[in-house]
Amino acid sequence: MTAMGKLEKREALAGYLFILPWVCGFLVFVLFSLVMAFYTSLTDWNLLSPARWVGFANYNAVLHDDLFWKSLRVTLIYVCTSVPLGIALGFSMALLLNQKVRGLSFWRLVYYFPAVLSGVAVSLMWIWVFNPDFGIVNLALSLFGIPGPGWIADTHWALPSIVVMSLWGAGGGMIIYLAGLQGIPTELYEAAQIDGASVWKKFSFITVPMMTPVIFFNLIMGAISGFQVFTEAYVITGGGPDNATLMYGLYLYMNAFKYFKMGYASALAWILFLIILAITSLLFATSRRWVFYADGGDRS
Amino acid sequence: MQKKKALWTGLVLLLAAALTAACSDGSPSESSSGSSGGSKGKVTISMAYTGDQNALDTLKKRLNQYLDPSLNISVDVTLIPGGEYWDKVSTMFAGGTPPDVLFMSEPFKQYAKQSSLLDLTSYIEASPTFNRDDFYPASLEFYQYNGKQFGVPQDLNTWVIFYNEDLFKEAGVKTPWEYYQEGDWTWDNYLDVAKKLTKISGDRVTQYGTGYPAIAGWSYSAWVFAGGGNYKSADGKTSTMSDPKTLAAFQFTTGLANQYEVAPMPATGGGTNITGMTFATGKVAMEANGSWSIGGYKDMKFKWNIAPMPVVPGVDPLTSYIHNSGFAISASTKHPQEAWAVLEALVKPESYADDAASRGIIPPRPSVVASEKILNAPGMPSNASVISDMLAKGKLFPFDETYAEEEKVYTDIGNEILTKKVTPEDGAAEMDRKVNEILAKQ
Repeated sequence: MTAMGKLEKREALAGYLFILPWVCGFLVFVLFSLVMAFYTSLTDWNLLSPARWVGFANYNAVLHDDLFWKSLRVTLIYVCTSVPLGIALGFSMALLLNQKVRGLSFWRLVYYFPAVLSGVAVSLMWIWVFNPDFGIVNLALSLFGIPGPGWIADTHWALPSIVVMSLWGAGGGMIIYLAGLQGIPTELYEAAQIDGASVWKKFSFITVPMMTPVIFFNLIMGAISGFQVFTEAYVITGGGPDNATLMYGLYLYMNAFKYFKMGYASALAWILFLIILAITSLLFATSRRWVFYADGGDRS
Repeated sequence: MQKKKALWTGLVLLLAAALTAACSDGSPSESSSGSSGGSKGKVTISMAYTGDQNALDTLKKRLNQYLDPSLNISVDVTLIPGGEYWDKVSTMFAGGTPPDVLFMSEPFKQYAKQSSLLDLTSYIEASPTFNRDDFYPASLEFYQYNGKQFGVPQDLNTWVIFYNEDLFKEAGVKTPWEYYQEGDWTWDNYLDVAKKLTKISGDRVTQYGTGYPAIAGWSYSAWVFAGGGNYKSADGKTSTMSDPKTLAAFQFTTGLANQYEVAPMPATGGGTNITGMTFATGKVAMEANGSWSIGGYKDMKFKWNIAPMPVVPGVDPLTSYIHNSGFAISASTKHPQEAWAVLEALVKPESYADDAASRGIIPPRPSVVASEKILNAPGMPSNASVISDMLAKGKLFPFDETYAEEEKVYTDIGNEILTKKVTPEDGAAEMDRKVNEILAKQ
């Protein structure tokens, strides 16, 4: 008994030592920053002069700020469209690339490739893709006699343009779905085959349920990164036209580094943190209804 | 057993050492470099600068040539890309490690107000080479706060009309320069010319008379000044966008696109120009722009020239907007004398001349502009010499600590005026309300 205790102790110590670097990193770079950001959000600070305590005045000002509500709405629309579309597209590509076709690895490379390239360079490229006069999209449309919209230059089309652009990176999700698809035991399909299940039945009663944990993972990660979207709006539209693409992250950045209102920007950051926390918990709460874990004991 | 224990202890010690090393980095090493700056040691001046490789090379060359080697100063220049320059610099100040010397432009007042910059007045007065009188007045005025000089200029620009001489010749229309010479370069004539140079084929405009000047802060101010208006009252405390003269500018410029259709409707917002037709494509006959565009336009295939801005009668066409950039010294520098020596090396007439020669910029000293081949250098438009007269008379935009926030008000509501969501009157009143609200918080 005592020998076991000693071993356990030692293993526990080893465990703590192994996670120590990560814990230190978390304490210094995440928790400390979070707490400091909260403190900053209660002050008026422009980086140059000392911070002045203002209590919850920043939070109060946020609630009365038209642009805050505007940016929140724009970001919500972005998340609610780009995340489901990204999942659908990534999943479909994974299904196609899970077939036995000639040159499979080549196609996987082709579809995954865009996910490797990202950020500013890709954003600059999309400026040209969407250019109303010279862009390839409107050129293609004009071949069919369709006059293309102004895309990123048009208040109604700018946000949809950025959503379309976000699908560029769907290949990243595809790889995860592909791994998930290959993890589904073939005996499930074989059993269904013997029972005479159609392709559609196999898909909807085996593939989809078995994939729900992966879809759930991508949904959570997609929602979190969707709320933090910044680069596309910063590089392509600068939030315009007429604030149609004023993403929350961009508005936060503008307050911090254009207006030098660090306190206000920190309040915005904390509000975003709470929103993401709430939405993630909500998604977790609903997940019990639709996410199926094969090893969850439910094997009737 | 014993071995294992030793291994563990070693690991723990290693981690602890790494952590303390990471935390205690900074203060000791810094003070050692500071104390070594005594009478005979070399002093290192840190400097934050922005621009391209050529800008950096030119700066280093000038420092090599004009910074007295006997002073034993070495300058450590950090080149920061334009887009992130102010993010980085403000973070350096906030972190307590500001550069000794820094490139300074639009946010000047913000830094001066927080006492972040060194007062250079006494240094300038003591300097044998500075000579205040040999500067365009606006170039020094830009760096003044409460009557003291907190910075020195490096290059100047003004707002002019660029026009495509080929298109004017082809249409047989009197050029902006000709109108200016006759003293009749008015908004009416500008609109008239723009109408004559707009070409429509079918339902498509194939050539526009002018580019669209988007309502904004400093980049639009030449139009406000040309109308005799301004953004704020003289004390800078009240927004004056509803002033009839300022309002007239909004009505006139938005009308170019949404009423007379002689300017392309712009891709609003964002600052990225994504409209196809620009002056450089030869499809737009005139464009109001900063004189910095001259450099980029030198290789264009058509003949072009410049003229002052069109004005409303009674306004001097030479009083355009002047754009400044230059240098300042951080108030907390440990080596103010040496930092000033660095600036002094940059503001010598010969040093400015070298800068102009390798970067094609316009230096702030009239004597240098007059004597060197700057405005009459090869490739310069034949009317370029008017720029010197404009720099002598030009005006400054009322930059203040909250200008970036005000800028968003101007551009957002400017777009609404352009797209006719609000009338110019209501838009200007809304700008006043919002800007006054921002100013009241100061």
